Parts: sequence; C-alpha cells; structure tokens
Amino acid sequence: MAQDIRELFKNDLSIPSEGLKRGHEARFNARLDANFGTQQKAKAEGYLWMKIAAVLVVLIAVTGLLLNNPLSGTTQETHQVEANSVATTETTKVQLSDFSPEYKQIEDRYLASIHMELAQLNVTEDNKAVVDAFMGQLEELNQEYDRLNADLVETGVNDQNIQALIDNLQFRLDLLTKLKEKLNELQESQSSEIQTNTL
Amino acid sequence: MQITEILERCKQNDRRAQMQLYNKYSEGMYYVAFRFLKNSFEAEEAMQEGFVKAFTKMHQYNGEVTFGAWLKRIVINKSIDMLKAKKLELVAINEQVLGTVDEYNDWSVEDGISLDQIKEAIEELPERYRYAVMLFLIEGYDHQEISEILEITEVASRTLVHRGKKKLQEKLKTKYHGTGY
Repeated sequence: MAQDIRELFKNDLSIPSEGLKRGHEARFNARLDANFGTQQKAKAEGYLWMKIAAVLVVLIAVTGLLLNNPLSGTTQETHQVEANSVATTETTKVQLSDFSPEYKQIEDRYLASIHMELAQLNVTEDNKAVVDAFMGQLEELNQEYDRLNADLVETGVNDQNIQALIDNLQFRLDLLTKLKEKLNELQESQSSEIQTNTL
Repeated sequence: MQITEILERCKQNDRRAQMQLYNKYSEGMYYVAFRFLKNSFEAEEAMQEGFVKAFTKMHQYNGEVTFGAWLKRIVINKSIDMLKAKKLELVAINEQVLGTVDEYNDWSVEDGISLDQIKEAIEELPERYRYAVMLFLIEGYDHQEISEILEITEVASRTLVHRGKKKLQEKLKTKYHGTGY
C-alpha cells in the first residue's frame, strides 16, 4: 500500500494512442478564416489609413517636383505627366494591396523611394533626351505592373506573382538610380568642358 | 521570436503569429481534449475551437499564468461543454460529505498496480466522478478551479473527487487481487 496515485500521475509522460489527424493545420486555417475573416477584412481600417498615406506620398512627391525644379515650362510639363502616370499606378494597384497589408507596406516604401528619386532629378535641355528615354522605360514598367496586377487578381496570390511585382518596383528604382548616375556624369563632363574652355 | 512578441502580434490578429502559436500548442492541447472526449474528431474540434476562443479573448490574457496553462483551461472548458451537450449529468449530489482530512488525502494504492491500470479504472468510473477525478489527478486543478470548470460548488467538487477516488481504490483492489488468483 505504498504508492500514491497523485505521484504516479505527476510522472506520467504517456500520450493518448490516437494522434492528431492529417491536415489539421489546414482545417484550423479555414476555421480562422470563418471566425476572423480573411486578414484583409480584419484590417479594413488600416487600409483606409494606408490609402490616405499613399495619396499623401504622391501629393508630396508632385509638389516637391514642382517646387524643386527651376525648369522651363515644357520640361516641367513632361515631368508632371510622368508623375501623374505614377500616380495612376497608385490607384490601379489597389487590387494587389488588398491581399496583404505587409505587401502594401513594401509597395508604399518602393513608391515613396521612386517619387523621391523623381523629385531629385535635375532635368536640363542637355540631358532631356536621356530623361525622356528613361521615362519611356518607366512607362513600360508601369504598364507591366498593371498587367501583373490583373494577373494576380485572376490567378490568386502566389509567390511568383508577388515576386514579379516586387521585381518590377525594384527595377524601376534601379533604373532611376542609373539615370541619376548618368545625369551626374553628363553634368560633370559638361562642367569640366566649360572649365577647360574658360581656361 | 519570443513568445511575448508572438502573443502581442496575436492580439493584432496576425495570422502568422496565430499559426505559430497553433503549431506550438496544438498537439498538447489535442491530447488534453482527447483524454476527456475519447474521440479524435471531437478532440480536434474542442482543441481548435479552444484556440479560436483564446484568440478572440487574447486581450484578457494578463500573463498571470503561462499562456499554455491559460489555453489549456479554455480547451478543457470547451471539452466539458461538448460533454455536457451530450447530456453529461454533473448535477451536484446532495449527500453530505463524510470523511476525515486523512481520508481526503489518502490516495494510496497497492504496490504493483500500474498507471495504465489506474487509467483504465478511471475510465470505468461513472461520468460525474470520472471528470472530476481527471481534472484533479491528471490535469492538476484544485477544487476551486474544478468547481469553475464543471460549474458546481467547491463542496460538490470535493465530494465528487473524494467519492471518485474511493470507487477507484475499490476497483483497483479487486483488480489487483483479481489478477492474483
């Protein structure tokens, strides 16, 4: 009569014979969907806020563009057009960002960087050709982005789609950085030319 | 990631954090539910519903106990609810509790009786005793907690556990001697 049942149970490490059934995680995920809705519904409020933020980013970029560029009227106009086309992306991409708030953040960050770069461009008559060529490429990327967006809505979210969208944004940024380098080079070679001429 | 960070993100309804918690605790919680429900489908149901309830009440978790203990309590409540839906009779018994403190603390069984035999004997107890004894013995709850879970008075909990134990000891006695002959 020496055993204590309570002690016996304290040292019990055995588990029931029947384990969890296969696919329980997926069933749980479905249950979460049923109870909390998909993530996008849960964060509907956050979205509105993000959209406002996105619009603000565009506005700031456009104003920055207009204020910082002491340019001739014609180049300013082309600039404004470009800025507007980027802004169009902002409105059409709504579909993508609806899927994931995290994605929305990534996208916003990229677009903000792109706008910043755009705003810092120093366009003159001399480099206008280069800038225009670049703007053409940017516009192509813009259209590609819309296509990817439509694709995403059609086929649903998957890693490939999302990666393609991010690549597109990254590519634009790379392109802008290259353009800036190019413009700097041009400017430097010009100023050194002027220097040699005056000497 | 730290558990506190995961919990914080769960409060924001972050699906990835929720799944992280689920992966960490689902198996253990399933076993808890299974001990009561004895059916893997029902146990999964109770376990998952427990998680859902925990996520909706996340803001109520104050860190007084570990998250696992908090969650387990919810899963057990869910399991008991499901048992009740199957018309489990847990009506408190009117009989006065008779017994000394010594008797209350006497949980002894003869040497040679295995844990499996004890578990078997618990399974054979009438339901109202069985769940009280399980909550006390296996899940380690005190009478206040048991009274809350089963929605009975603390006195009723003491009575159920005490009587369940008596029956258990009797069963084990005959079992032990039975195998001896």
